[in-house]
Amino acid sequence: MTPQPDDVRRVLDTRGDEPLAATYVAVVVVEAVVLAALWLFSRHFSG
Amino acid sequence: MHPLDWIIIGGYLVWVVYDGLKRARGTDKVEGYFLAGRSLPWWAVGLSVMATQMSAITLVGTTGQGYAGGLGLVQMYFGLPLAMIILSVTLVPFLYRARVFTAYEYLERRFDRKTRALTSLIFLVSRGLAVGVIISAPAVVLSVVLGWNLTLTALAIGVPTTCYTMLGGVQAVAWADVKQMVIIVGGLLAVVAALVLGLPGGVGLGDAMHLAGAAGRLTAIDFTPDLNQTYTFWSGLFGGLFLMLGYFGCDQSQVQRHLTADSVDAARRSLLMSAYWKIPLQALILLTGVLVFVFHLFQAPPMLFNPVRDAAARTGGGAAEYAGLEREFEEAFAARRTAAGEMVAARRGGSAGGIAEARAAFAASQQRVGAVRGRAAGLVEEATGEEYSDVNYVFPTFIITHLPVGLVGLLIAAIFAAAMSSAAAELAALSTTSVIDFYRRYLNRGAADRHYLRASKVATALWGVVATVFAVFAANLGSLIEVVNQVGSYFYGSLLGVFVLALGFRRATANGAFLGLFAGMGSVALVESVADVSFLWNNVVGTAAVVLVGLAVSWLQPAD
Repeated sequence: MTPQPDDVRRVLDTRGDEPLAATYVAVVVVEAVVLAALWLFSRHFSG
Repeated sequence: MHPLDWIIIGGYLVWVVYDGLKRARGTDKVEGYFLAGRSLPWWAVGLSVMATQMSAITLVGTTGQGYAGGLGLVQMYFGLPLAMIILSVTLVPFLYRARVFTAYEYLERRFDRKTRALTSLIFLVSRGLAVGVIISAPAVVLSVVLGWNLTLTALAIGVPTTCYTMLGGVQAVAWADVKQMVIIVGGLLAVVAALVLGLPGGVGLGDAMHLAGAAGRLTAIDFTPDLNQTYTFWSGLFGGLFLMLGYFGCDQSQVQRHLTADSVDAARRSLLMSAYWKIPLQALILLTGVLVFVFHLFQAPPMLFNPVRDAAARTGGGAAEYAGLEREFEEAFAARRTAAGEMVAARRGGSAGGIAEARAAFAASQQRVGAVRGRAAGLVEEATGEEYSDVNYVFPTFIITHLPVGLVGLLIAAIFAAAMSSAAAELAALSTTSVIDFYRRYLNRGAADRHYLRASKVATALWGVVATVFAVFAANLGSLIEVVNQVGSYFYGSLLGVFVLALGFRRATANGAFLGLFAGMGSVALVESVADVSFLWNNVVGTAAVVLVGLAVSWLQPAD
C-alpha cells in the first residue's frame, strides 16, 4: 500500500521549515575540528 | 557508606518518582501519554535523546574501558554527527509530518501490515532484552562493589523507573531525562575535578597525560584498515554511521524522543545537539577512566576489581599461587610507581635521552603490572570456569574507595540516573509499540482513547516487571556495553535498510521490503558465523543486503 496523495503532500511539504544548511556545515566543521584535536592530543602525549 | 550518601541516593529516588507523579497531569490522552502532546522544546528533547543513549552501561563500562584500554572507544561515535545530519534532512521531518506514534506504523502506510508487524516485533524482542541489560548492568556492579543484595538493587532501579514511566508517560520520562542528564554530567565533572586535584604533589595534569600516553591510554584514533579490529577510525566513521542511523532513525526509543518535539524544526535541532556534543562527552567519560588509571599509578589498585571473583580465587584450588601473585603484584605496582615518578622527574629536568629512557622504563613496568593481572585473571577463570572481565567494576570501586562523602552519593545517584533514563525510554517505547502496533492494530480496533490510555499504562507496567525480572537473571554477560551494542547491531542495519527502501526507492514493494529484511538479518548472522569482523560493520552488511535483495524482489515482482 502506497501513501495516499494527501499524506504524501503533507510529509513532503517543507515550505515552512527553517533552513538548516548552515547548521549542517557547522556540525561537519566542528566534528572535523574535534577529530583533529583528538588526533593532535593523542600524538602529543603518546609519541 | 556514609549516611549523607544514603540521603542523597534516597532523595534522588524519591524526587524522580514525585516529579513523575506531578507530570502525570496532562497525560489523559494517548497522544499526551506517548508523545507528550508534541509539546516539548528542542533543548529538552535534545537532552532526553542524549540521556536515553547514555545508560549506566555507558557510564560504568566506558570509564572502565578508558581505564583498561584508553580512548579508542570514542571512534565508535565518529559517524554520529553525519548520521544526525542525514536523519534531520530525511527521516525526522518525514516521520514527524506523518503524525505516527511509532516508526513502524509508517511502514504499513508505505508497504503493508506484515512489514510493520515484523519490524515492530524485531524491536520488541531486541529492546525487550536490552532493557533488562540496562537495569542489570548497574545492579550487578553496585551489588558486588557495595555488597548490596542483587534483587533489591535491581528493584531499586526498576520499580521507580516503572512507576514514573507508567504514571507520567513520555512527558515524565523526558523531563526526568533532563534532570538526570544534569546529574550525570555534573557528577562526571566533579569526579574529573577530584581526580585532577588529587594528583600527587609534583605531578601536574600534563605529567599525568604523558604517563597515560606512555601506557598507551591516549591513542584516540587508529587509522589501521583492519576489519577485525573493533574500534578504528574507519569502523567508527562508516560502521558507526550505519549503527547511529539505525539507532536514532529506526529504534522507537529514540524516534519517540524526537516525535515529542513541538515542531519539525525542534525535532531536527534536538538531534543536532547530539551531533555537537556526543563525541566530546564520550571523550570526557573515557578520559575520566584514563585519569582513574593515572590515579592508580600512585595509589595501589586492587589486583582484580571484582571482589566476588577475587574471593573465589583466594579460596579455590590455586589459592597459594594467587597469594604469590598478589605479592608479585605489590612489587610490580611499587616498581611502576617509582618508574612513574622518575618519568615525571625526567620530564622536568632531564635530557631528551633521559626522558626517552624513563618513558621506556615506565612502559615496561606497566607491562609487568598488566602481565601479573593477566595471570591473576587466568587463575580466576580456572577457579570459576568463566571468562573474567572486570572493566565494569573499575569506576564504581574507585567511587566507593576514594571519593569524599557526598560525592559518593552523587555518583551512585548518577549511575542510577543513567540506568533509569535509558530504561524509562525503552519502557515507554516498548509500551507504545505493543499498544499501537499490536493491541490497537490487531486485538482491539476502534476503542475509546481512554481505553487505550489504560492499556498503555498496563503495558508499561508489564514491560517494567519483565525488564526488572530479566535484570536479576542477566548477571553474567561480560562487558555489558558491547553486549547491548552487539544485540542492536544484528537488527539495526536491517531495520535501516527497510527505511532506506521506503524513503529512497519509489519502486520498492512490500514483498521486497519484507523479504529484504530477512535477507539482511540472515546476512549479518552469516557474516558473524564465518568472519571475525568488528560488530560495527554488521550494520553496513545488514543495510546493504536489505536494499539489494529488496530491490531485486521488487524488480522481479513489481507492484500492480
